[in-house]
Amino acid sequence: MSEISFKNLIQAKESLDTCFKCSFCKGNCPVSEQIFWESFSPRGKMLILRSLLRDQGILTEKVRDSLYTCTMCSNCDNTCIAGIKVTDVLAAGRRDLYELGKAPESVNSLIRTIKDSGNVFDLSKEDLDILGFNPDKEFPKSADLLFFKGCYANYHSIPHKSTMRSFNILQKLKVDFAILGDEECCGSPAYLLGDMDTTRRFCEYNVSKIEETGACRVVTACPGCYRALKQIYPKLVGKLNFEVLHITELLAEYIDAGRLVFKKNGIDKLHVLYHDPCELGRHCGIYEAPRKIIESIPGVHLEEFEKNRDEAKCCGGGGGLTISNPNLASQIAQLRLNEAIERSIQAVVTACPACQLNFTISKDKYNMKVKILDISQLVGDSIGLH
Amino acid sequence: MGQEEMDEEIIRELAKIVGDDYLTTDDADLVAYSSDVLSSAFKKPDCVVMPENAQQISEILKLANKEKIPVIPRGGGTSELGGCVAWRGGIIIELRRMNQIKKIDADNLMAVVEPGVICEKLNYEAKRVDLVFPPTVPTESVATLGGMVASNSSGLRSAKYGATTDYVIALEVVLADGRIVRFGKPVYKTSSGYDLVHLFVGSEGTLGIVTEITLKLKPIPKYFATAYGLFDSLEESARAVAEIVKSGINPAGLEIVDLPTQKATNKLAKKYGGKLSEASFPEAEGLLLFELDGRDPAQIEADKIVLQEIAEKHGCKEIIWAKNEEEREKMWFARKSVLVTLVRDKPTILIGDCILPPSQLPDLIRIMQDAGKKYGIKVYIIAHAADGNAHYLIPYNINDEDELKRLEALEDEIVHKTIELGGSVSGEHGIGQHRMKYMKPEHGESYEVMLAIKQLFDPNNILSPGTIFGE
Repeated sequence: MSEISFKNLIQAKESLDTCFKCSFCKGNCPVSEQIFWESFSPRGKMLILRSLLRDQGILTEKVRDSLYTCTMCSNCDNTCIAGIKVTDVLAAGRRDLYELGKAPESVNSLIRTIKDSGNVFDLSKEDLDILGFNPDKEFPKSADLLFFKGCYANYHSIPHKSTMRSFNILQKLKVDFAILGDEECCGSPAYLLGDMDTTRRFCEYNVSKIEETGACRVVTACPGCYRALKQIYPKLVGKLNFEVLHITELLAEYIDAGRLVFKKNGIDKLHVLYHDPCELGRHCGIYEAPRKIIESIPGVHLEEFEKNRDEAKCCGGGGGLTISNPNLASQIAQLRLNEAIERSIQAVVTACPACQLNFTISKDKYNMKVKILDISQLVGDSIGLH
Repeated sequence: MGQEEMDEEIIRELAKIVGDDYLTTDDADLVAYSSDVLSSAFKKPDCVVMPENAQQISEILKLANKEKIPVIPRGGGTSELGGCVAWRGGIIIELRRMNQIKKIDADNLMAVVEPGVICEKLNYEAKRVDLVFPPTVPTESVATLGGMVASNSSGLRSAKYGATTDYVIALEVVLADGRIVRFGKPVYKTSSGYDLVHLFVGSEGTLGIVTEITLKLKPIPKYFATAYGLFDSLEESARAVAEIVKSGINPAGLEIVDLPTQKATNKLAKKYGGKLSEASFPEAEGLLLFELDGRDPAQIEADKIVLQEIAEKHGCKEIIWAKNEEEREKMWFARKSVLVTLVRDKPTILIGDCILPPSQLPDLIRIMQDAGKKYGIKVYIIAHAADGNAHYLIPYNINDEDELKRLEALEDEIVHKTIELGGSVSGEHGIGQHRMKYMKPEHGESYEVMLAIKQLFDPNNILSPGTIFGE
């Protein structure tokens, strides 16, 4: 027997044994489209992990590279004919590598940052004041509805603007909502990178802080936070005392209730493609709410990517890939944006700060002539917020 | 020079050819290339290289031929039969880097591609000019065109559109000694010399490594008529197929699904839920899935009448035509979900693809059913009926030795009886490693001719040894 204990992977043994090796998982995998080594395909990763568990393989650095070169987009889960949650298996593999001290240094470094600063950007509240970002001072600390901002909205200028736009939309609709002044990272990045202790720590902290506010509904504009709150937290601390919503669900609800009404405005014949964020779409099943919002806006024509909804290709920005392989993350985004360019689409709209950011970086890097919009910007523009 | 030192020297030589970034001996990579879809396959190669052109492959083969090292070309790795596994070690050549669509000639309905192009990608590009590469395989999002040529793939639409071989008109091939040779011309037909192009189609990497493929394309069909035909007897549905084929109406799809398969699919689709729960067959002893397609709706309407008459003559109790695209997709979804549902229930599955002339399809189905009864094994049957090509699908437990023995006896019996009736062990999947033992019984004297051809092209037996030929 190997001296190394894969205590997380052993929990995924049944999935590894069930893998039919059919390779359908490679078909829509954003990494396999760019890196042709089988070891970087979902099937290859499954074979490598299975062989480690069976003492037929060696834990080389390539295992580490292979496991962390993945956006965790769940396309492999969606195409697996045996119904295996491949990303759960890969997550178990990552947890073992991290706990064995075998994760890549870039990953270890990011986890240290998250642990120390409470966010993925290594910024402090003071930094926010200097940058003029800090919304905490402007909003109440208690209401039935709490807006969970997330690291991207808190600390990065591009998604921050989108989140501020969401705040403004809610204000215009006269919705009372609170902000968690001392919010910390939701834990999703630590979860994806394999650090369960840190995930749990953030989960317990945030749940306790949210409960202190007495909010019965928590809304977020970040699908990573959304999935953490909605799916991961209940697994760690049991049923939550509050409902979790993505901003698109809330806005769609307001459209249904007649509270959010779009009138004819300056937008005229804007052709957009909606990009389904993996965390919101495949992981959480939210496909129609964003579409309902876009289709409700006069002058905006929603078109679909060739691969959309549960087949949507990843933007490349998930799973920690922007940390472990930023070039690959940009190339994956470029491939997705190419379709918009080829079809002369004016804007790609998404509902995720990580997608928005990775698309924007790629668009600038490759000088692509297409707008990248968060759905809140589109909504804001359509109700006269400028 | 010792063996170990020699190996290292060879690795260095290979790295010089492809570059350090495109060669690996890392254990994780070797594990990832140790297998394909065949359940029992697990054999690590000594190294994997990823060349970018024919010239590099030529250099690799010159070296391997001199040193008598096995070389195994590999595309999407979707062989179900161990066709791209390094059974005797050696070098795997990963061809995905050679993935350029060099030309789509819309005027002459042709495409020139490198072997690592994914089938779906070619069709995505061809669609822009209203063309399609018609052989449809379920793995088209993964399967490479090089792999499809190597195994002469076909699938659900072969009734009308045939197999890969029907679309290959010219090839560039690197031979075992490193020569880069072009076979065929970009013309629709030729009477000039031996047809060596089609010698390579289906050769599973044993005669040379294909580095460029010139393919015929077809205009995309615009109209479809799709239906289930429900019969009281599986045998009668198969007889109807033979008559449909004879009638000349040429359906694009003509699939048989036996009742146990329909029931299992319906039951398991519900059990596993999600998108799969939409997979549903109407359930009948004999069920035919027809599809007519074309660019002339009047012709399709006329063919529908002929098809209906033939079906009714053979006791078809009901034909359910798809009323719209959604219903059409639902019918095909059920058919495509057969394997998916069975695999979900038991992850190891034996798939056969024996073939007889269409009129003997009832015999082939009976052989499979009888063998299942004899060996106490549940056999699910689906067929690309117009070709007489029937699949037996047998989920099994890989750890049950008794079941494995019975399974082997069952497969031997089905294959040998098919051969006795004049048929073939494989209509579309190939031989690989798993079916080598059936080559001699099927081909008799021509097997010796094949061996001679193999010897002529590859005297040192370096190309995919352990595939098609045992020795």
